[in-house]
Amino acid sequence: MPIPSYKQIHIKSEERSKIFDQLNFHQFGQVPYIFSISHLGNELVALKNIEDFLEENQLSNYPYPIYIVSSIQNYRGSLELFSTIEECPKFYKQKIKQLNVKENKILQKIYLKQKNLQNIRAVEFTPYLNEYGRAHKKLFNLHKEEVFLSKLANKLEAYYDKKES
Amino acid sequence: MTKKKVDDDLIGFRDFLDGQPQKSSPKVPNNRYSDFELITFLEQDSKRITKHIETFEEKVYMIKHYPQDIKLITDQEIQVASKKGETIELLSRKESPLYINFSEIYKSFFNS
Repeated sequence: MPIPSYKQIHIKSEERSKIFDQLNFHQFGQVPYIFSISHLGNELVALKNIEDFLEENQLSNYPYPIYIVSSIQNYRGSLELFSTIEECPKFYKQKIKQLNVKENKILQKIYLKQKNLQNIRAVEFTPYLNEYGRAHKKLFNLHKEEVFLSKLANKLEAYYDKKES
Repeated sequence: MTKKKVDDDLIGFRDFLDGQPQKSSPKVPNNRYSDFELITFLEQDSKRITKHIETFEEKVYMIKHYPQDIKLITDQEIQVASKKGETIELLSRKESPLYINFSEIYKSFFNS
């Protein structure tokens, strides 16, 4: 049971088969990962292959994030990119050390919860969550329109009242 | 002057003070603080995962089986349509600011 602290992986090659072979050894969902690809020649190809690996194995940022250290700029995709390891969020930067009884107990609880979360299969719920988000956005825009119209109607009524008096 | 006076005050005590073992400043228990840091982190992470489980087991289940968004959006659309009608009625009056402004624009273009 490892402490949920960053695990760094230096991707050895941008080739699809090599990336798949390298990442297949790791068990995702128990610790946050940092994939370093900034040293590779073709970072874009490596990034695309990592995305494919995560998609094929139905891996996501739940419950632990997966960050990429790369020099690619203006990336618009499902992964979070950072130019250096130091820029990654500090929350998961924890020193690995011998745990005491209390810490071990909490870690065991975390482990059980991780297993529970893995059994839920969050990927199945993603379309419902996306639909829920879209509906809320539409509702928000409609409400915004209603507020605008209400304000306009109130101002017009005030204008007519002033004119009549 | 002052230093001499202070020295004078210590006459008779100096030998006693020199003989006492010097008390070192209380050390800050670094390890204890770092332990608390790790426990806090683990507790926060545990809470975070619990919230994830609650979201997927309860909230998303409710969203999946009992969606409310269609009804809410329909109600909101009705309200917006009603407000639009009300606003158009107010704007279409002859003394409305919109009517006045438009008539002034038309006059400046076509009556000049």
